[in-house]
Amino acid sequence: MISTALAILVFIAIVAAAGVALAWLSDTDSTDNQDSPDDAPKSEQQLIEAVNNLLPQTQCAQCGHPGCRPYANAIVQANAPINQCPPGGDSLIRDLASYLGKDVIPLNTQFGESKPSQLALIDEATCIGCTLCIAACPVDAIVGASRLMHTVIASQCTGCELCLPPCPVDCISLIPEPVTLNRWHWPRPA
Amino acid sequence: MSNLLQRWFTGTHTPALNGGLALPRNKQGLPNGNRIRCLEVPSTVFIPLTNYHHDALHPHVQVGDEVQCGDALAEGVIASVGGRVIDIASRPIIHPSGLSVPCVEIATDKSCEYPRPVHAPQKQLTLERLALCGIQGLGGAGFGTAGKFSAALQTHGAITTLVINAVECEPVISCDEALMMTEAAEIVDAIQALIRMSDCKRCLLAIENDKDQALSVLTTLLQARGMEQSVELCALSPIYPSGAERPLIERLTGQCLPPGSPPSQIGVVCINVATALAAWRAQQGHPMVSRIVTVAGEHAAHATNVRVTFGTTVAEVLRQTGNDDMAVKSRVRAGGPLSGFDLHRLDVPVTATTNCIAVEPVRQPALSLPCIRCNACSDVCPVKIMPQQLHWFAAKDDLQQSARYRLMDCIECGCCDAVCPSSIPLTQTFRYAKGLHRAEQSKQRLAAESEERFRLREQREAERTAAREQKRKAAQARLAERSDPITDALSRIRNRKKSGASQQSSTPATSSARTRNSAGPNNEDTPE
Ligand code: SF4
Ligand code: SF4
Ligand code: SF4
Repeated sequence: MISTALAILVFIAIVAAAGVALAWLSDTDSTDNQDSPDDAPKSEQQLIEAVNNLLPQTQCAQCGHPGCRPYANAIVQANAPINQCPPGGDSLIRDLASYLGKDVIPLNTQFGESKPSQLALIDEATCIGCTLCIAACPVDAIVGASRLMHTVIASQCTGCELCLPPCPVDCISLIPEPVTLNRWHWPRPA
Repeated sequence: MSNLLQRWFTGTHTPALNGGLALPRNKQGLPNGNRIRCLEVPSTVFIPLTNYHHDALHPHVQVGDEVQCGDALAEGVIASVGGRVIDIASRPIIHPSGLSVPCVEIATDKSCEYPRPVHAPQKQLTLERLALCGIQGLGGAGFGTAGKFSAALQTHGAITTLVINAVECEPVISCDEALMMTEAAEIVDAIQALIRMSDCKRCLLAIENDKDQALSVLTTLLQARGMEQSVELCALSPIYPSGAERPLIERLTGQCLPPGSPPSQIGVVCINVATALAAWRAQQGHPMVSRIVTVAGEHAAHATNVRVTFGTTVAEVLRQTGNDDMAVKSRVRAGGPLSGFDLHRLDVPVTATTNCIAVEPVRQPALSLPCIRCNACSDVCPVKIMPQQLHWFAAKDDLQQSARYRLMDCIECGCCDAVCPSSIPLTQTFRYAKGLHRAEQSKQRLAAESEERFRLREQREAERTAAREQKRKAAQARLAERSDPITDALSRIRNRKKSGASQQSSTPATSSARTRNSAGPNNEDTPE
């Protein structure tokens, strides 16, 4: 009788121990699988830095702020809506929402439409060398000198369109970013 | 540990490849005692101005220039023939995208005969010579050979192991085997030269054990030269993809290559056997202007291995080997049946990376079905990826999870595709996802760069505004200090009248006051 009771007790103990162990394991496993940002509170500066890293750095000012970092400041400090950046588009809104724990909302098209990436091209025959576009380019992607032909450094142009309005002879146009060999990649299988 | 056990049990030096496939070898067109035929140099050749990284290179020549065989056409690109540059224009090249890149078109000067040294022979091979002669990998990737050696010297300080890769594991391709059957003596010379140049501690020659003729000739030659100590001959079982660089190095050296880092990181340089021979030719003064190409495939009328001058078009190779009739009705591929790709057109030039031109029947792609979790794919994967799991995430563009399932470790060998009973395009999906990953990375890099330039510009503007402001303040202060010239002059006149000075001496004083008055504001550099 006693031995039966002992046996049952031992059995219960083993099962309980196994249960606890399994629960613990599954717990560590599930936390391990989470990809959410660390739970440690972040300083405001760190948050701004992280949000700024998510922004496309086109520096086009379409969001109503003079560049991406100012917009990052506004998002973190002034709680600005996260749907004002047309170059970032929906994927940026998704990333920001998941990072900041906000709802995914559609892009506010008042600020502009999301377009495929593009770059500026100066018609070098028409350019009069007025240097106005150089002053407008937020990322120093245009080179040229006074009264000499200007050109766009394709690899540095972000396609922000800020150089278009100041050009007095309208010789700058935006072209879709060409697919070059080093930018090509395999398509998704059909 | 498992490697060690395996070594004890099998008695071999190198552990077996993980997974892989024992495929029918199907090596056609071996020379069998004959010399390898050199194709005729066509009347025009096309040399693409691009490199391993697919950058567009700036040409060093202009249309109309006369070039000699071996002259540099751009950085790291040399002319494969002598002649006149008749055009520099965008043309399609051998690439799965079918995209075009600028190519130099040379009207060949028929008097230029291969082979003729264009540089003076060297006593000892140097890296400069390798670069000068345009030596690049002939194994399929086309990385600059001098770059491999200097990377190992830079990152690791010395070259510990030199691996000569003669493992040609993919079915159909047989260009390296053909080379070893015909030019074994030169290959041994080449290995000797490379050992001396690299000053390596260990040299391994990896080859499959079913390449009977090549293996026996090389063994005899190494013994005859007394090199059996310095060169370890590793005969591997012919499993695909034994020749893939990363798994091969890990098996041979027993060292683990950190993900994403090149072999040079651990002081290992791995070069293809044909590249080794080209390096030795460079020592003799020959630039790398041609390679051996396998022309084979199920639909090939005449399977063969031929030496092709770079810049010859695929169509021309097929014509000269008598395969052009079949090519019309077939699918022409560059590379082997597993790792190669279909060509969009045939007027594309052969380059150092073109190891095989395969004429294959047109096949409908099989319809893919859902995964049945049979694990056949993970059993054959040579880098121990779980393709079925990875595919789940890669097909959904989930790059974060794909990275956890080691997407970037996939060597795109195609083994998983070959065994999948559901015909899921696993390898293709991984190629796509890897491309996506790289695009994402380069986007992030560009974003970081443009942010930096934006920051510098802001800083510069701020400094400029501050400087302007300072100048304005200084000018204002100067103005305030100095009294008004008109009151000045008036007071002077008053003073003179008081002292009763003569009329003569007052005239120059007023005129000088007037000049100063008119010139004053113009000379000031006060910005408004
Ligand atoms: S709209 Fe987007 S890319 Fe343009 S400046 Fe604002 S945050 Fe930057
Ligand atoms: S293609 Fe990639 S995943 Fe498939 S077997 Fe080869 S290495 Fe493994
Ligand atoms: S071989 Fe195909 S069906 Fe089998 S587990 Fe892999 S993906 Fe799934």
